[in-house]
Formats: sequence, structure tokens, C-alpha cells
Amino acid sequence: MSNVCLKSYGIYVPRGRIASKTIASLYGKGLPGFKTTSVSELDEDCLTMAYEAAKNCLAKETGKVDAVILATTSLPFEYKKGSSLLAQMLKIEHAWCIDIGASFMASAEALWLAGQMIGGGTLENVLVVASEHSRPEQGEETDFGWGSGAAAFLVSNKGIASLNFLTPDYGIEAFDIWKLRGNAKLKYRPEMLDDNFAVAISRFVKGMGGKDQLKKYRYAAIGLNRSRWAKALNKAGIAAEQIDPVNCSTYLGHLGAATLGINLALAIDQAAQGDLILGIGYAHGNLVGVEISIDSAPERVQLLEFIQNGEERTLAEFWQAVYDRRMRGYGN
Amino acid sequence: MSVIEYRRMALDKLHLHGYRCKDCGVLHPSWEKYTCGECRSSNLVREDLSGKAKVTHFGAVYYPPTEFKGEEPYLLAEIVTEEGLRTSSRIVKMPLDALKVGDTVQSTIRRVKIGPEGELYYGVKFDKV
Amino acid sequence: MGIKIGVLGTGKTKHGILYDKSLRDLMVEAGRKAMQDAGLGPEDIDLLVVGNAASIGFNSENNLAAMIGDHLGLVPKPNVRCEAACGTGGWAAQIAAMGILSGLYKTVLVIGGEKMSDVTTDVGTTVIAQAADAKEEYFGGHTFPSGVAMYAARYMARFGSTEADMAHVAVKNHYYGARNPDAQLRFECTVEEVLKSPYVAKPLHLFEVCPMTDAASAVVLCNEDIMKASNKPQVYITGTGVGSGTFYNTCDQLEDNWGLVKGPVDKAYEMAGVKPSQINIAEIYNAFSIQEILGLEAAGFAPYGEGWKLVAEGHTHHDGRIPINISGGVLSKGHPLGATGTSEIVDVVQQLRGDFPGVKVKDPEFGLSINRGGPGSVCVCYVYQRMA
Repeated sequence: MSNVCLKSYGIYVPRGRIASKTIASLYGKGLPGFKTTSVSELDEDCLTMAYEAAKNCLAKETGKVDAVILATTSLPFEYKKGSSLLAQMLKIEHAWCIDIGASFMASAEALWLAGQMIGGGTLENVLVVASEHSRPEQGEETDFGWGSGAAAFLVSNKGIASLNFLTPDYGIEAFDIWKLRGNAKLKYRPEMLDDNFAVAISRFVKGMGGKDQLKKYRYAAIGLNRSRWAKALNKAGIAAEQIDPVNCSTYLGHLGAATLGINLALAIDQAAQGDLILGIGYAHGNLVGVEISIDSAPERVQLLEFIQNGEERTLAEFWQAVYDRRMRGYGN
Repeated sequence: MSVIEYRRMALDKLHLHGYRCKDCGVLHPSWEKYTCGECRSSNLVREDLSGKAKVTHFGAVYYPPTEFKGEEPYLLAEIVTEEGLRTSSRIVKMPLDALKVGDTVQSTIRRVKIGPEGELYYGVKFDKV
Repeated sequence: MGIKIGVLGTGKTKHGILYDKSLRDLMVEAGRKAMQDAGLGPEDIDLLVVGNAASIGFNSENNLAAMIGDHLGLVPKPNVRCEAACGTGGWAAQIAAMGILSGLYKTVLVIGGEKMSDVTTDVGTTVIAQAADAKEEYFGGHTFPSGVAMYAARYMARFGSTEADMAHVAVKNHYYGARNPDAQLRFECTVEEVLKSPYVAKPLHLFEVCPMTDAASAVVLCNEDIMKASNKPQVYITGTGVGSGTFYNTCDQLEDNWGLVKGPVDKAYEMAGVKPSQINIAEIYNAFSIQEILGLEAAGFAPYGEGWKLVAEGHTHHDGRIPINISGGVLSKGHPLGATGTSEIVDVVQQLRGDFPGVKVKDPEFGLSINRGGPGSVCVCYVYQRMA
């Protein structure tokens, strides 16, 4: 057992869901491989969802939290910290507060950082929260299927599961989905998106010692929407039954940095004692992996069922939550 | 509201709290921190509240102030907390007929508004339990 | 016919840019201090008068008297808010005086307060400019400093005084401000330094113009019976005069600026039965240094056009013939619009009682406060006497 463990976890997902067919009724085509995406309210954002997830994670914990790491690419602020405000919301005092952003790998990197902090021996509990808030630009509605949600993990030196971080691979430097500062438009190249992933996953499998090494994982929680890369994952030796039970995107959409977090929570919720879970954080051809070994299975809270059920939103409600919000200056 | 006021008041808005008079014991809303309305004592101490409450009355706003345009209609409820404090608050978005007198609600943190300088205020709203 | 209104208690906050204090924090602090100084509790106050000039513009809040009445535990006593631009504080005390002299109220708590630092300077300037005709004369970009600068320039042209002559007012006020622990600006300066400070609106230099300020000050006023029965120093308001002047700069402002003060101050002298030569301490509104000059001339301390000489020759220092603005004046205390008038009352009374925290005038018996406001539109004067 490693000395970096998961003590508790929690998620938050907005109640609203917009169905692919509803989107298709306006745009002519639906969501890219999703049944629904989650739709937040006007008064929700990355920080409020992070707060809710963290509250659920810390509900039964009484120890002092020594650090708060917020992983997101959709903070309401371009210049201002989010993690310190989150700490204030949670009444966490005298803790290090760190924002990690820049890519959808942020949650995996946040977990790794938390692990280093715990492994260092001076900190006892580190709260990692991955939160993402949907923000399609005009024309992107059917390209990415952005959704909203958050997941929180309390990383400690003892807990229900042990964490082991695999060798990171930042060897590919590529533009596949990016946005230059000062430019409102998110750019992407589908060919590069697909090819980068194929190369990265293949390097990962090779580094693991071949496809057979992946069979030991009960679940593979991937930090991106499986539907796009179903073929590449299959080829890599990751089976549908490893991914599908822990693929929130089908119901919640593309959750950016929060995708891996919620998928890991789904995996832990469904796992049994002794199970091994693989978590893959991925962006731009870079890939980091974390193994989670379930030492004592938590009481199941039916997270998958919770995610599958929400309140259907109309097109008008979707428009208000996404566009009206930006036009009225509510920001992200 | 301004960024100067934000620094003074923003953190106080995050958590439901009241002020209890140490002399007569009455619990007052968060803004009554100077003088006890019951006994006129100035011996008031902040008390954090659990956030659990019951709805006693509620209504909906259809003509909002500028900062809340686009949110209407929205619910405002008078509540009594489990500590016995009577106060009022926004309720999170839900169908207007989904809330009933007597419902138990729990505080949470949501965006309240954006100030004139672009400062974001987060604060307490209530959701049905 | 004289009047006798007792000043039973005084209280004030520091003047400054006080980011951590809200408007209500300041007013509650000053109100509590005044009641404590008077030896009274909220149950003893018959009426609350709140003076505030522009809370809607500076603080997005209104109905202040009701708010402060709640926070001071004064409910269900009556309360009212008063506004007269920079003359607000003086007028708030006037309302109290009317109530006491009519016999309707025995003790009145008067609180002046303003919180100007929550908004940026340009917004504050806009709010202040709304105390003039923002839709006509000030529509095209006038500010209060530019309005005052115009009549300062006329004064200088008419009487042949120079910027260096006028600068003595700022030098004297900053000297005393530096020694007043409650003042906002606490630095001394020389005439050369005043002239080197940048123009705010020519010919007024930065050191000759008051800053925007957060503060509150309060007094408890009472009838003669209550004052006599108390063990407090027997300081009374014995005369008052109030008048109005022009709302517009481009009227004959010079005469009006002098005339604005002359009428009310003469009335106050007459009511109190005193002559200018008897005054031992005066607080004369000087948000801009020219206003101290015009005010002291109108108050009879110097001939019209020669007021600056009185200052330059040291006659208005604490040990001079007529100590004026020994608090540092509005110039260095700062100008929290609605609180300035009440702070003048507090400062004069504290001098008469001998407990002013800055430089003290020796054994003063008679005092004078002149609170003016707007472009030249309001003036409220009080004469005070310390009695045995």
C-alpha cells in the first residue's frame, strides 16, 4: 500500500440535462456521441460547483485540510485565484491554495501534486477539486457537447484507496485544441485531435508493457469523451466494459478537467475491495496515468444512476443558461 | 457596491450567520451586529448557523432590479432556521410551484450578482432538501 | 434674543480613507461615542437627525436615518435625514435646534456621516458635481474645484492678491492638521511646496483643495434644563444664522460668496449678543482655501479683500488674535460631506471644553462655526459660549 491514499470523494452535477435530440431540433445535428449534457443554472459556475462537490467530499471528514487544489479551465476569472475563494467558501483556513489549469489534464496533475504533498510528510490532508463549467462559443454547440460538473477528492496518508502515479508522457508538443490569449475563438483540428490521442495511447500501452497489462484494471476512467476515441481505445486494449460504466460524458457531456474526476468517482463507487482502477489524464497528446487500488470499498451511493437522471431542459432554458448568460455579462 | 465594499463584505456573505445578544440571548440576522433590538445591548457575538431552515412564506419577483434581469421570475422565501432565526433569502431556481410552505431547505453557495466594477458576489441561497 | 442649546456630548471617528469601515460602521461609532460622552443611552434620546449628502451616489444606500436608528437601538424614537450638500451637518444640527427650542424634544442626537472612498475618484467627482446643476451649468464638464477656482481667480484679480499670498492659508491649515490625530492629511508644507503642488483647477493647487474622506461626527444637543442638571462642561450654542446663496457659479459669485456668509454670521452674532472681536476660536469651512479667506472676511475678522493677510501674518494661529481652523480645517481634516458641519461643531466645543486632541487654544470662551455648502448655496453658522 502506498502512503498516498484517497480518504473520501464527492461529486456535484447540475440537475438540468439537454437532450441530443433537442439540440438537433435547432442545429440540425445533435451532440457528438452523447445522449445528454448537463446544464447549469445562471447562478452556478465553476466555483459554486466545486464548493458543492467538496462539501459532499468533506461531509464526514473532520480533520484539518492543509491544501486546496482547484483544477479547471473555466474559472470565472482570467486574472484572480479561484482556490483561495473556494477555501473561504469551505471555511478552510491556513491552507495552501493552488489553481491548476491550462488543459483537461489538470485534474490528473492536481491529484499527482496532492500525492507529492502527502508523500512529503508534512501535510496530512489535501483537497483536490476538479470543476468545469460549460461555455460553448457560437457554432460549437454540436462540436464538443460541453457540460458542467465537479468532483472532489480528499488525498491523505490513509484512506479507502491507494494512489500510484505512472510515468508521465509529455513528449508530444502539438496544437489540436487551443485558444490564444486575447482571442475569443477556441480553435481545433479534428485530425490532430484523433492522431495525437492514437499516438499517445499507443505509447502508453507500450510503456505499460503491452495490452495484456491493461486487463488487470476493473475500470479505466478516461479524462475525455470515450465516443470520439472508441476505436483508438479498443485498439489499445481497453475494453468497452472497462470504460462504459465509468464514462460520465454520455450523460453529462464534455466536462474538460472534471471528466476524469467524475469518472474516477464513478469507478470508486462501483468498485469492490481489491479492484484496480486506471485513471488516464489526457490533453494535446500528453498523457498521465494513475492507478487506484481499492483497499476498502466505500458504501455505494449510486453515482451512475444519479448521473443518468436529471431534469430535462428545453431549448429556451439551454439558450438562457449558455448564451443569455454571456450576453448579460454574467461571464463564465 | 464596489470592489472596496467587496473586500469588506464579500466573505461575510458566504455563510449563513447571525448575531446573538450575550445579555438577553436573542439571535438576530447577520446585519444586526451593532445593537440588540430587544434589550439595546451592544454585546453581540457572531454565530454561524447550520443552514437548515423551514419555509414560512414565499413569493416570486417578476420585475427585478437591473443586476437580476434575466433571472425572473425568481423565488424569495421567508424562512426560520433551526436555531430559530427568522430571515429571508433567495431560493435556487426551481419551478415556482415546486416550493411549499413548510418545506425544509438547506443553505448553499451560489452566484448572487455581478457588481458595477465586475466584482462577482457569491452568497447564500437555499435549496429544497 | 439669545438662545441656549446645550452641547451635552460629542463624538467623532478618524477622518481618512477607511476601506474597512462602512458608512454605517462610521455613523454607529460616532453616535455611540457622542451618547457615551453625554452619559446617555438610546432610551434617553428623543430624536435622531442624520446628516448625509450623497449616500445614494457613493454607497448605493438610502433611508439612512431609519437604518442608523435601528443600529443604535433608537427604535421607536423618531428619526429624519437631512441633506444640504456640504452644509448638511450644520443643517442637521439646525433641525435639532429647532426641535429643542420648540419644546418638542429635549435631547437630540445629531450624526453627520459620509463614506466617499467606495467609489473611484471620477465617480466621486461626478457625485459631488450633482450638488450643483448637473443638467445645466455643470453639464459640460464643470467640477466643484473648477467652480471654486473661478471665483478664486476673480478675487485675486479684484484685490491684487497672488497665488503665493493665498498659499498661506494652506500652510497654516496643514500645520495644524499635522498635529490633529484625527485629521486625514497630516503633513506640513511651505508656501513654495504649495505652489509646486499640481493644479487641481487653476489657480487652486492640490494642497489648497480638500481630499475626499470617510468620517462621521456626532453631537448630543439638549435643552438648558438638562444641560444645567448635568455635570458636563457648560457649553451652549447661543446664536445661529442660516441663509442661502446662489446655486450657480456664473452669478455674481464673489459678492454672493462673501454675502452668503455675512448674513447668517451677523444674525448669529446678534442672537448671541457678541461681536467678532470676542470670538476666541472659529472653525470656518475651507474645502478650498479661498473659502477660509472669504469666510473670515465675512465674519468680520478682516476687511473685505484682506483676509489672506490675517493668515499670512499669523493672526489666525492658535496663539494669534483670532484662532481659525486650529483643527487643520476641512483642508487637512478632509471633507466627508455630510459630516463636515457636525465635525466643526465637535471641534469648537472640544476647544471650549479644553479636550480637543490636537493643538489647544488657551481658555477660549466664545466660539464660531461656519458651515457652507454647494456652489455657494447654503450657509449655517453657530456661536458658542462656555459658561461657568
